[in-house]
Amino acid sequence: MNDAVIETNVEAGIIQPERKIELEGAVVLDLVFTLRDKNGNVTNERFEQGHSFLANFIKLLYCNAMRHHAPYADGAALSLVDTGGTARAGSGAATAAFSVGSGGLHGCAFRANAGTGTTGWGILVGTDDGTILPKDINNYALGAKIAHGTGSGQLSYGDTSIVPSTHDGASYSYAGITRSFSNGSGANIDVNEIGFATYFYWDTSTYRYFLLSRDILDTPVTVPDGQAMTASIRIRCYC
Amino acid sequence: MLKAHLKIIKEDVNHRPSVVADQPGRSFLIAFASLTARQMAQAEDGCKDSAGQVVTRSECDAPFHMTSCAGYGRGIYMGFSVWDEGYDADEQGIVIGTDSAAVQPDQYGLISKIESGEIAGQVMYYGTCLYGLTIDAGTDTAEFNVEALFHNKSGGSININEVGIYAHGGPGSDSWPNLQQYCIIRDVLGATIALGDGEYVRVTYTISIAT
Repeated sequence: MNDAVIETNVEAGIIQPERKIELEGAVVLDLVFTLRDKNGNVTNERFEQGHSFLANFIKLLYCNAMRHHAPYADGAALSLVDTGGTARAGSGAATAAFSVGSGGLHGCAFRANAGTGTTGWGILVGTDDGTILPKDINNYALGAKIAHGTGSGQLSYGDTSIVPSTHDGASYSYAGITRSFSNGSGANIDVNEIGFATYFYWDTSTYRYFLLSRDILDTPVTVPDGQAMTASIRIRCYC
Repeated sequence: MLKAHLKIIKEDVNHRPSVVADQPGRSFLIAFASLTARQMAQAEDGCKDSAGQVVTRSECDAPFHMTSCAGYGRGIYMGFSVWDEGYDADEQGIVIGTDSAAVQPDQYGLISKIESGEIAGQVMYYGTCLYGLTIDAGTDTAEFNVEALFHNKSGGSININEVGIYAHGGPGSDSWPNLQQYCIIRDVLGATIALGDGEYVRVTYTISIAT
């Protein structure tokens, strides 16, 4: 009787996500979520590919490229819709957003470095999964922004810092910002949407707030009570 | 998602136009990410200007300024007329070059930019303008165009293999002429464009988003 011989070939390796062809040449938003317990230990990390620059973003990029709030080529002052849903036509008050000015507000059209407790602008998170407000290029606010605090359903919004630029030498580069959040609400909170908003003088010398991106997550990020989350939005350029 | 599309029309000495390039833009460079993040964070992020110098400034003035036409994009030269204000400016807006080496994400400029002028190896730059911002809520898309006109008056033929956009971003504390140029896009053409003496090319980037 012959001994049976069983051979196995084991190949091990890291499975890399397949790069989608349509990303070549694209600029997308990396959405990176890291959860930490009260001891600072990472309990979960999530990555999603965001896509959703909004109309306000391309309008501001257009104005930025012209260094002016009123693109004469199109015959009228350009309007942005603020986070309250009001259309605001640009005026000379917006100069500081695109040029050297006083008061430190230089080139702040994409400014999103909100500090602790600020929920009017910066990286913002919400609970809407698209039921309340379907995703649309003209979205001007999150569907259900989470309020700042430690009450029920609230997150404590923290500070913002830069994600320095980096590249892989071959196919992509990225840079962005990150913001911390903590959950002291007494219960878990599901984050279903994320975006970033900016603020500056636009139509008058009163600060206006404009949402520039909004993504609804494929899978919600659950922030357990007592844990902290950092949410990063990275501008990733594929070539 | 933000993308760019590149279209180039050549006009011969008898003003007969022909499309000589029509391709997806492939190459937003690290400067685009860096300048965006720097403005978002209002913080330092060492970024190389088009000369390869690291610029470490905490704030940035209009980091995507592309129009070489006195700061305003009026789009008035549709059809190859000339706007004098953008004349002979090769440090800002759409630029062209001769090198065909592949794009890498950390490149900071064209590899062999053609200078503006009328002597051998040069092409006249007639300025860059922006126009045509449209928002289509039905398809959740939006776009605008960045366009420049070039004229070969060098007396000989010149090959164009690379195209890009130099954005003109200044640091918060400085002003003209101490502003830096940053190459935010570089593309290598699918086929060389031989631009004969007396011929024009109109280069158009369509910048678009799809939500």
